[in-house]
Amino acid sequence: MTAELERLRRQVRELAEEWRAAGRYRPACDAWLRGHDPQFSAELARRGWIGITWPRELGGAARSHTARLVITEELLRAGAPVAAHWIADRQIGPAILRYGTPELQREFLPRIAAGEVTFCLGMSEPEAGSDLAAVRTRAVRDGDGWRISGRKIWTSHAHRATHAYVLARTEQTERRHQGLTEFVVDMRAEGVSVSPIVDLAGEHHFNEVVFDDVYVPGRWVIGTVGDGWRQVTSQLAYERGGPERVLSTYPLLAALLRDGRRRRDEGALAAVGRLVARLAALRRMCWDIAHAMDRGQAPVRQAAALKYLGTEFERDVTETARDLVAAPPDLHGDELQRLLAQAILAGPGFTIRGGSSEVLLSIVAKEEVGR
Amino acid sequence: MKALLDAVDELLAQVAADDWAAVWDAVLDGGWPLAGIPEEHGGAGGTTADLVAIVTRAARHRVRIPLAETALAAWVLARAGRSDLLADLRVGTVAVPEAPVPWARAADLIVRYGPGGAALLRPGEDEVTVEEGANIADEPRDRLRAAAGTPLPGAPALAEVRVRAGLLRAAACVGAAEAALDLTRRHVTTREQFGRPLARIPAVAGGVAIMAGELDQARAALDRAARAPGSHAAVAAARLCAGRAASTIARLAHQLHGAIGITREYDLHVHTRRLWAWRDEDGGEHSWAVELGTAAAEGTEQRLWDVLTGVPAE
Repeated sequence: MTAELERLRRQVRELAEEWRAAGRYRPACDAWLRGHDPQFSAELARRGWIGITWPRELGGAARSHTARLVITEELLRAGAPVAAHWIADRQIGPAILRYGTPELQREFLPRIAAGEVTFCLGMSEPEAGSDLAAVRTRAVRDGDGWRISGRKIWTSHAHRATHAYVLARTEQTERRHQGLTEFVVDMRAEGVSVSPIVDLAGEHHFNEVVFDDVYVPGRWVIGTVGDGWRQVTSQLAYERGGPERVLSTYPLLAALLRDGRRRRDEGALAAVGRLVARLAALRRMCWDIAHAMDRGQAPVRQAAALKYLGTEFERDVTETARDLVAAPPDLHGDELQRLLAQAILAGPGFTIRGGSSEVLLSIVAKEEVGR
Repeated sequence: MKALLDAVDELLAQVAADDWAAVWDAVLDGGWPLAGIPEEHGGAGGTTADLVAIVTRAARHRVRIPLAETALAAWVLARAGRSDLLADLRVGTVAVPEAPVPWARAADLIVRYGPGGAALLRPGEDEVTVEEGANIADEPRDRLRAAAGTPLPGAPALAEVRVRAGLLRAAACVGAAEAALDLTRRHVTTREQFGRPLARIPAVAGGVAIMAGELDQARAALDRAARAPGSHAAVAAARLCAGRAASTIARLAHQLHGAIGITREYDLHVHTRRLWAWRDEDGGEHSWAVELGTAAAEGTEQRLWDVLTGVPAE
């Protein structure tokens, strides 16, 4: 088991190194959100590394979540462009596997695993950010299918994804956590329009997506109509409990360790030592969460704590790097300056996306002291 | 293991802070300080992870006991092939250069590390003078004046002893941090202000969550180190995360308790003073950080990564 994981790790590492050496990507901070390369994703799919935990008959390899962790952490370490398949591999595939009908599973999972189908995440709306239960996007029945209307925002790579996951209201009830339903939507369907939102770094990954009476076949409902809230919350362990919540700035830390200009006095060494200590603990937490998933659990509370702690770490890597290197951040400078600039400019998103730190702390607090 | 940890709670919960003598025979009967030493070497069997769990649990209680100290001394003796001394060992401690000796006044056996290596001191038999001192948690931290003692050939190197001591210190920090969090949780859910429990104030609840997160992180690092107890890097990480948790948790525990936490009457200080003392004992946090940072900076990134991502032993 251990030897098998080590072999997998070596293979992933070799592929990432091969592509880097060939100049097919430059290691980047936050590449799991910003590094979008369908060719690289297709190569990973060809090797069976997308959907690796899923059953074989659905395109997977029936491997463990710890095997998936080995893949994801090696790719993050390399700063490789993995954004194209990341959302489908991490959470929408697993959501379909958990709640979808066998028909839906057969329709989508093999194509996700093959790299043909990619997903963007239609959760947040202009009036529903952290408070996801406030979604206003509506789906009404139309024969055997549904018609969806509404607006989703902060939808990364909506302009590139083949499909969207959409959380919509299917029933108006007094109890806001009821009456929500999860859908798969074809991004090429009539009535879907995507407009870019450029981020503060000048990059385009965010979008606003408008659904104007978009027809969705009935078989594309994920799980039970009206039970979307319970279902979506079980995605959260997948969304928050992975190494991308720890390693977004790891390429900067790696470059820092390689750089000859960094300070080497005792204070500098101590600062690096403190980062390494936290990274060791956080990586262990990722491992424990993957292990819990292998036992069929959804460790939502642990994932919330991991994301809070991991994103604090990501930012402290940036601050430490600033302190240890006498070179200003520069997107057009040398490697270290470039990574530092990327880390600084991407930083504000770390503690917001996928559950803001405030929301995460309130989840942990609820477990600790009730409500 | 759960039964044993329950027994730790049951025994230690009954006694006051200074009353260690009342429970010590039961501690020895339970074989706690000998956990993690193979039975064929005179120990109680089990793994180092078991010992770490016991030390962590014991550190949640008010009573100060020389558990980690005796366990450390026993481990040195077993490693040196002197398991013949374990059966009669009551209180042991290890003296390292330039640091006060914990619990020397109570010890019937002291392993002293000096320029000539390790030596055994038997306070009953050898000429040993103890000058009593204490850390800021009122725990015995003494100075020794003694003759050379009996050489202890085969004892582990001082560096190994430091790693073992650091692991047990991290374990104790986690236990004390758990106790401080427990008290804080109880306080903010029962104490009412503005007509409702303090925990209903979002900033208060957030503070508790930060404490819990730091504890998660320290536990993860400790768990990792307990399964690789000889690894300097793993223990340094555990020690540093425990120290970080100690600082954050002590600060927030006091902040959320308000003035009641500052009194001698209320128990919070029992735990927070230990956290403040322990985070800088057995090698201060700074020196562990420098050592870990030096190892990371001198090796390659590849080596660092391999260490970080090593598959944990079950």
